[in-house]
Amino acid sequence: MAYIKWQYLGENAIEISDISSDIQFQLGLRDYLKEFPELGIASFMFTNENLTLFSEKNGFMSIQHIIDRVASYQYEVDVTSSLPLSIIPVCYDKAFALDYRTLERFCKLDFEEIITLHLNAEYKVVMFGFMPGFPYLHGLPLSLAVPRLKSPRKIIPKGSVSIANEMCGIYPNQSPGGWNIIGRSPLTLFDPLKDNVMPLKLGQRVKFQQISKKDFDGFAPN
Amino acid sequence: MDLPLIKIINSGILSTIQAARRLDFQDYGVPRAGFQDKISAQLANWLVGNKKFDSLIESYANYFEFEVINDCSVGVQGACSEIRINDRLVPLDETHHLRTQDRIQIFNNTHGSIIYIAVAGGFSVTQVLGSSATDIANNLGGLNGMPLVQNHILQGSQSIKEMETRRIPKGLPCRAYFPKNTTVHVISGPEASLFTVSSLEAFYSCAFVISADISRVGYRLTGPLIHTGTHNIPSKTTFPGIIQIPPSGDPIILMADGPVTGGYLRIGVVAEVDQPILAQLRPGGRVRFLNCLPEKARLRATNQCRWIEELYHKKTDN
Repeated sequence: MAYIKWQYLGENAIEISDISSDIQFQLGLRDYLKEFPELGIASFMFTNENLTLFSEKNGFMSIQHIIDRVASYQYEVDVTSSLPLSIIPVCYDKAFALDYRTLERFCKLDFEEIITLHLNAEYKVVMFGFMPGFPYLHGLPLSLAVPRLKSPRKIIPKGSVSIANEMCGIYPNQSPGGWNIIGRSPLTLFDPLKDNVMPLKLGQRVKFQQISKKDFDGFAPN
Repeated sequence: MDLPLIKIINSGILSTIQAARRLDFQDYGVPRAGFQDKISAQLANWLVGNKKFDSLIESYANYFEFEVINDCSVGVQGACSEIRINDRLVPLDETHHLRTQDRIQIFNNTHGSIIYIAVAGGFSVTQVLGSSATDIANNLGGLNGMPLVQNHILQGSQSIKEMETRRIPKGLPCRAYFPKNTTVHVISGPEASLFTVSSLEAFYSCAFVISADISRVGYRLTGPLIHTGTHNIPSKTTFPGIIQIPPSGDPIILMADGPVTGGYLRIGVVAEVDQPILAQLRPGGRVRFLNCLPEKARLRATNQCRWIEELYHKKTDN
């Protein structure tokens, strides 16, 4: 990597931008930087093609040193380290798929075809944001890329599986929101009182598995 | 062992348990929460011999009242102008040793927005994701993730043994933290270059008014509209202090409960050292932005911390 683009984000953070959108690359870069505690990096935040570095209490040692380290990072694909595939059950019942008509209109496809495309794709968790445990999933077929709703809904039910532009997401709890709802998952994606707070992790591969309304209603909590 | 210490009689507009920020789960979408005005919070904790970030009550209130259930020592700081114990006026800047059935009324009618009430030993609340700070939007921390309301009873682990009385030394700049209007230092944000020259000029030269739309998530300002050609960007990192410009052109400053990502342009970031003063401004108060380099912001933060650090060290050396 030759030229590293970065900017201050307040006096206690810097944002490195225009890096690879591959989350495996980003996680590798984080792990590499963690090998140098003297740099004074306390934590990391991933947003699309950006990596934000937060400084420790006493500040970064030297931003030039950090940038040099970022530049010297050699990305090696390590297939053994890829996280296991996570299967997310989802019910596409029209009572749950609040925006199936919008999706049909934009994609010029039947809802059944949309479901098939949604099920056949493999996704990857590339970031969490918006609210605790809300995963942004890469891998949505381009034919399903539909813009956000013009005016957001006040209430979107917990577990709603949703689409906005080229991203797929899941609302871990009830919330206002502007994504197109395609179905609902009975899984709990964020439980702060559990040891495993979130079953999904950054970099994890995800596939959806269709379940019936009956299975949804009888789903035992994870 | 935990004892019931106080019962809330009147909790004002919004009262929550706050403590150190929740820092370890930002990359999983969890906001920081924590003190809005860490200076006042740390002073309140100091008055009762606590650690700087022990859990205490943070209240947006013109009036706060509670009743004592079991003897305890209390420190009140922040935007309070008058404290009465059983209808008797007491000094603001010292420890109060309270007895069962005492009634404490805290008035705030002259300056600032936020009151802090600390109890010796801290309040007993469960830690969630590494912090006991309340995040109301996500139901985390504090008292079941909820705001405090009338009749809530707060527990503490304090033994009944009385502690020494502490007084905040004269000459410390505590009261300087509640001006009606203020100027805050701002470090240019990553999207500052997307604004027109005249917009940036207006941003750094005009006064903005704190609107009535303020919460622990963000303060919305009104003033000259700040315009840009681009309105939305893919979600990027946000945190308390970030100033966003939404399509309406009215700036929003993210506060303690601000989300970890946002799609509005980040024109700048309020220097940490100025965030307590900003948090204490009242609706109608004016704020001006002064562009500042990160190095200078860090230097000012070190100087601000110094007198708080000295205050804490003086007592622990005894």
